[in-house]
Amino acid sequence: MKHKKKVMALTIGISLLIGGCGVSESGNNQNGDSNSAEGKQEENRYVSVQNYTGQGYDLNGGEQTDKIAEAHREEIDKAVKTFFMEEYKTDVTVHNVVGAQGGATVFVESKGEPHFHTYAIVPIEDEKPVLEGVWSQEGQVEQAIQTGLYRMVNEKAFNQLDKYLEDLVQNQQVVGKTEEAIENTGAVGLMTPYYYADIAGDSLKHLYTAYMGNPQITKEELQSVYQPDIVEAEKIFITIQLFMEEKQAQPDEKIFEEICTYLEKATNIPKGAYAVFLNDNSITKTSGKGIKDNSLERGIPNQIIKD
Amino acid sequence: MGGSSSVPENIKKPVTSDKDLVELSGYSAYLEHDSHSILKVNGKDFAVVDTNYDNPTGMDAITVQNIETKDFTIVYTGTGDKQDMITDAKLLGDVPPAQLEHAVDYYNEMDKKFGVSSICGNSLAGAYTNAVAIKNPDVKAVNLNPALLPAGMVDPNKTYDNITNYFSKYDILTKTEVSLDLGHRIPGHQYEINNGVPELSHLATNHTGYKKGNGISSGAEGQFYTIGIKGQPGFGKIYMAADEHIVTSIWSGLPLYGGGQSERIDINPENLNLLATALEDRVIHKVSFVQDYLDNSTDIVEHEGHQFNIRVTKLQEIFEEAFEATISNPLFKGIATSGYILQAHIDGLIDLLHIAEDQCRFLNSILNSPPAELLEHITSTNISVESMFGEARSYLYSLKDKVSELTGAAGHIIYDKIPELFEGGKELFVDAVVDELQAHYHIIDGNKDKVLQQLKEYQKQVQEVANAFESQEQGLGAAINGNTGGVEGKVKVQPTNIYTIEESPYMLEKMLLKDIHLDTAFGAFTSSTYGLLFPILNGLKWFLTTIESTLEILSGAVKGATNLILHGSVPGALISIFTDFDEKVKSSVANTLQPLDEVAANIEGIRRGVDNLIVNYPVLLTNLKPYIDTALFHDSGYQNVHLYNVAAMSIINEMKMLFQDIVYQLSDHKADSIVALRKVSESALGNMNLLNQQVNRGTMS
Repeated sequence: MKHKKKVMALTIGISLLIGGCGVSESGNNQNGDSNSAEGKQEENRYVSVQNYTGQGYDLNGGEQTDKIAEAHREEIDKAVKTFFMEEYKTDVTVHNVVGAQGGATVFVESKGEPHFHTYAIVPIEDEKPVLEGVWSQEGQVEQAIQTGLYRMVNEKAFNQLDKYLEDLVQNQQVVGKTEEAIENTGAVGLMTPYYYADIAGDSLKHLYTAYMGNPQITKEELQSVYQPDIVEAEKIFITIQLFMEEKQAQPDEKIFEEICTYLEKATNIPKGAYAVFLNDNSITKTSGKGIKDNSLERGIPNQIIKD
Repeated sequence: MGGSSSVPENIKKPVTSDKDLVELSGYSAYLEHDSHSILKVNGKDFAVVDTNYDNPTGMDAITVQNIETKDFTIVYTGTGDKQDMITDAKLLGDVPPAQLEHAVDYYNEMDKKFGVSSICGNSLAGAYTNAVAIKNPDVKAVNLNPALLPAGMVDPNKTYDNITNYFSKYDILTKTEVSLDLGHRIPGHQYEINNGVPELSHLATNHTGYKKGNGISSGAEGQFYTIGIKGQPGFGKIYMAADEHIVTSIWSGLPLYGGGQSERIDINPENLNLLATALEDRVIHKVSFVQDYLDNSTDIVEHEGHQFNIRVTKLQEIFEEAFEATISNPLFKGIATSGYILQAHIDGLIDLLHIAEDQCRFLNSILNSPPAELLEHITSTNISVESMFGEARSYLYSLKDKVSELTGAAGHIIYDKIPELFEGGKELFVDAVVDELQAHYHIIDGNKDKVLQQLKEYQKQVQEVANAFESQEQGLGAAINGNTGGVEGKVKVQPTNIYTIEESPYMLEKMLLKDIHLDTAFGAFTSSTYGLLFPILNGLKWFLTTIESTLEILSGAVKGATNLILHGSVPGALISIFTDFDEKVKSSVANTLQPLDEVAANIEGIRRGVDNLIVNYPVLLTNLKPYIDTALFHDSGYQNVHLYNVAAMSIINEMKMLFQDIVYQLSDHKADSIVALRKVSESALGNMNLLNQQVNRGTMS
């Protein structure tokens, strides 16, 4: 029986290892800190939002692929650009390539309008990127383009939202993410330092179809085909995400309430389902996330729906 | 049946389906998702409502909301850090690992916040899920290839109906767990699904159910194994995404495993429409994969067929090379085809023998003319070896004949016996394995087209019956309201054609065919070539040994005679001092012995070669066997035929499950049209069964 267990442990170990739940060799270094001592480790998992640019960001099973991706960076950039031009008729800038299991995730930003952030994946096989195999996850790029188009047809409303948040950051002890952090780890769609937007369902499909039919389409032309009546507010996710400006500060209840109240009362901001997160000053390096147990949040199922 | 058009009560509330849960768990994405971002799974939108990436134990999870149904799901994922390996070891022990506790904590937190209706996980995360689900019987848990729970966590008296575990047919983890009798530590239902292929190189992805480096969109596209080599026949794809292999009821979306049938539905236009759509999307579409797989198999088999001459020639070359290499004497080069080198060499030996004989005569003449002053001491001597030279020469000539026989036999093996290795099978095929496969695929080819055609017509019938029901109902409604004179009676429906699956008498031993044929053919080859070669080899050996001893006697005689003359009588020493007679004799003796030695050395070399062949021929045959195996049908090609057939069978089996449910659902209805539809679906099911049996014959197991 003892022997049986040994065989078993070995087999399971192997399966889990190959299944991507294996051991990472990076151990202490996982946080991207070269001088992390044991005691400092907990502290080093976090970085101040003002200093966060995407350093240390990693994905599951990406230890090996990361190096391969880095070694083939130029070809990957080119292949991804071509992919976006051919599939989505859109010119993009490649910001970051991060190894993942069986491939590499490539963070891109569109040039000009519609403006959006998204990502594509380059498979890695036999230690080489499969450049002709670039793909995007189901619906992701379509959604991202739609957020960009949504902003174009609702420019005034978005400007108002932007203005409110910029004033807020000016007047209160809160900050947003850095541009570099967004470029290197942001992939949701429409992204600013203070919020991001993602879209479910097909209610903006008509804008997407119009854009794909004519990538040079002007704002005015887009507006003329836009059908605001079919847009379902609860499927347009606009997520406001802010951080405390002071390093040691806890998320401020009053500021949080102020934002929620503004959103509830505001008229002329874009139609959508708003969520609000107010985090302390720190970001987890490996995941690039600010939300922690102490974060103040108002999200699903209590979003603020502006219809 | 009635004419109700309302949604039947027994159609379950649309919760997140097993298919979607399996894709979520096995295909956890490329990003660490942001809260409130959208994931698409099988065309459905899921919003990420919470993320848990930073748990110190490495227990990662996200919570998502299905935007249509509004229900919440936790997707547990294993991570790539140290903790997991520790947990692996603990899974075999009795202590609940910290990760499992964290999984439960996370569930409790999320359930309190959102009300979680389902949870899912793959591999280690499957254990998280099960740990949560045994404590929460109200949550639906779906796992793909889960790891075991620690001993003692699962109550053997409980059935845990809320938990479903899908085991991939070729997953090593669950296979091991079950074979070690530890399956009871995976609670709930355990169903085997057909994703993956039986190949070692796909161990990892058979386990995860997905290739994470490949795309997933519109169904299975992007999730496939590449089979064969680009540009060569049979190069293609086998689709492998796990959720595509979960068979669920067309009407309820519930899995059709464990002999469970879905609840009886009402037959109304809506449900018939569902059936028609599903037949198109889920049956005809899938059966076209079967067509692809079988076409690829056919291509491989045909390609092997065209290669017949090349395969035979190659095997002949290999045999010839092995034959010469076994003898391991350069003189035997080409022995199997002409034997020219050896023949010419033996001629050379005969010439040497002539030279030796001449020298011997010369020696005699010297011996017969000793210097005058020695005459009184030496009587005229003659080394009489002429008859022995004659004997040796005649043996060498016979040796030439034997060599010719060997060449003839080897040639016979190469040109007749090797092609015979390929012959056999049911109809005494020339290329037994390939021809039998080819004959079999010829029949399958027609049958698969029939099945597809039948399904297409059936789909049309269902659609038209659905349309007819609808319009009749509307007509009736209008008639009752007095808007029209009556019901439009004209309905056109695709007529039912009879499709009969042709029997195949071939491949009754399945893909073992090749092994069986190899063993039989190899056995016959061994005994017939032994019969051919050994009498000749033994004859050769006898001649060679005889020649060797004759030569020995010859040189013995030469040496003996001169010894007698020069040293046998008293004044010998004296002679040596006064005359060069001694020198003359000595050099003449040497001249005689030298060619004799050369011949002897050569004969010995040849004999060793023959010995090698006698001793090592069995080894030669053993080494040849794998080459014969490959020549019968290229190994990787044969394996790929097997893989394609396994993949085709997987789909046909799944379609059979689906059709069993369809037949069941259409049974016990009085309406003639439904009875007729049931009959067609039964016929289609029967034909799929037959096709399945035939496709099964293209597999090893």
